[in-house]
Amino acid sequence: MIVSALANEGTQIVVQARQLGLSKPIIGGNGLNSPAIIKNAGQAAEGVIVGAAWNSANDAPENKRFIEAYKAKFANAEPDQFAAQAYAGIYILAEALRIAGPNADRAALRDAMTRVKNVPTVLGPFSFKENRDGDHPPVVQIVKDGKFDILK
Amino acid sequence: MFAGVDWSQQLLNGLFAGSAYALFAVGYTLIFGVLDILNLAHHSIYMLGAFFALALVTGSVRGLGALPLTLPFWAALLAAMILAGLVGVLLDRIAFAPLRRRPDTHFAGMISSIAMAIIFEALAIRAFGAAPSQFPFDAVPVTPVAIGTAILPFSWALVIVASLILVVALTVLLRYSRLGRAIRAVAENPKAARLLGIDVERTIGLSFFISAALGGVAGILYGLAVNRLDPLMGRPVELKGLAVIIVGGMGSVPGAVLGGYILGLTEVLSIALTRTSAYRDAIAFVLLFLILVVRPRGLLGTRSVREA
Repeated sequence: MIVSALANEGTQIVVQARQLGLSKPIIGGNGLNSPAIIKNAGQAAEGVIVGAAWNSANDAPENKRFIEAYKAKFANAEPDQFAAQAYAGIYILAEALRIAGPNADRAALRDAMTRVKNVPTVLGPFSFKENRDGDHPPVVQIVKDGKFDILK
Repeated sequence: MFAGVDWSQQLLNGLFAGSAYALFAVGYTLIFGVLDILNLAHHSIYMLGAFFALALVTGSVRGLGALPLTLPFWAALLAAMILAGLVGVLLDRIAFAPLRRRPDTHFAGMISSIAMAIIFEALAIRAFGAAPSQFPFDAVPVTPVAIGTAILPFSWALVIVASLILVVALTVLLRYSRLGRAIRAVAENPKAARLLGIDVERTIGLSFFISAALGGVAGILYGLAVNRLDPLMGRPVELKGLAVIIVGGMGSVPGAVLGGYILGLTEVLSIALTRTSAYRDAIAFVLLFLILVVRPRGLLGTRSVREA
């Protein structure tokens, strides 16, 4: 079953599917990449597969630093993918500003954005493609023992 | 055209929705029957009941911290039902009782109950957070109930059965018990009831307790069934509940039950028939409107609705 929903509604759908006895795999997108799913759906979330932009279990130093800083700032709350993407966005913008150099104007910053290449972010090395899509390694996660794990 | 529709499943789905509406509406109509006043805070007690049970099951209140105890679901259901009933008594004392001796208490009571609903919702947002919460996955058995080809989550079956039991219990109480006779006497004529030695204030207080306890159970069971509790969860059911008790006949408990089942079944079957949920409310409310055109007093209403 493919669930395209955000965490709150996704939780309701996942829980009810399991309560109805549906044991087939459940696959979700970005919206389900939230610790809220695991916390609120409990064991119903086990085995849920999430294709996502960010992997909380990634042990790259910048990712660990992000999670620690986030928890310190927000009363120990776990970040979700949206927080990680916003955090990465600032790093990408900073890199573009660095490329554009001092006294850059709007056009220079826009051009600098296209030249952003392999910036280390919490999403992995990030670049912009010709067509302005973001390019970074995607991950596929599976909920296992109450945690997101990489699906192998 | 209707190939692939499992009608027994659709009927049970409708029965589930209808049972939830009926359970909400019987408490709503009980107060109208006794006081001739709409208690527009009924939906906020529905919401509070759900959160009381959640707090007791999980042993914590999001905005306040841990409770000294956690209860199994069934004990929490009972305790939250009593707590909701007590909130109902409090509501009567604050919003209705002080206005009772004044000449035009109908509108004043409605407005003060709206105020109480807003206060209860604001307190709930403070205590339980604005984001939705859920009962733990295994608060009730997770094995579904199979009836023929239809399958219901245990919690949905619970709503159908619990609603039936509580409505029958309320009917028996109203019809055969001393308290039930007192409630009916006060509903008929408070002055005459007082002359006959009935403690009118106490009877009204107990009516509020019963009404709010039933409203609280409705909130708990519906929140459990749809896996979602939030401080504004009472809003959608408030207007539907009002429609249900008007169509059933204001003040009539069997009417509220009948109205609840009609609304729930119409909603679900209209989706099954039209294959879209876009017209669900339109179809349901057109039907309710037509019922009122034919029977202005509602299906089981015995007296005309008072001129507002």
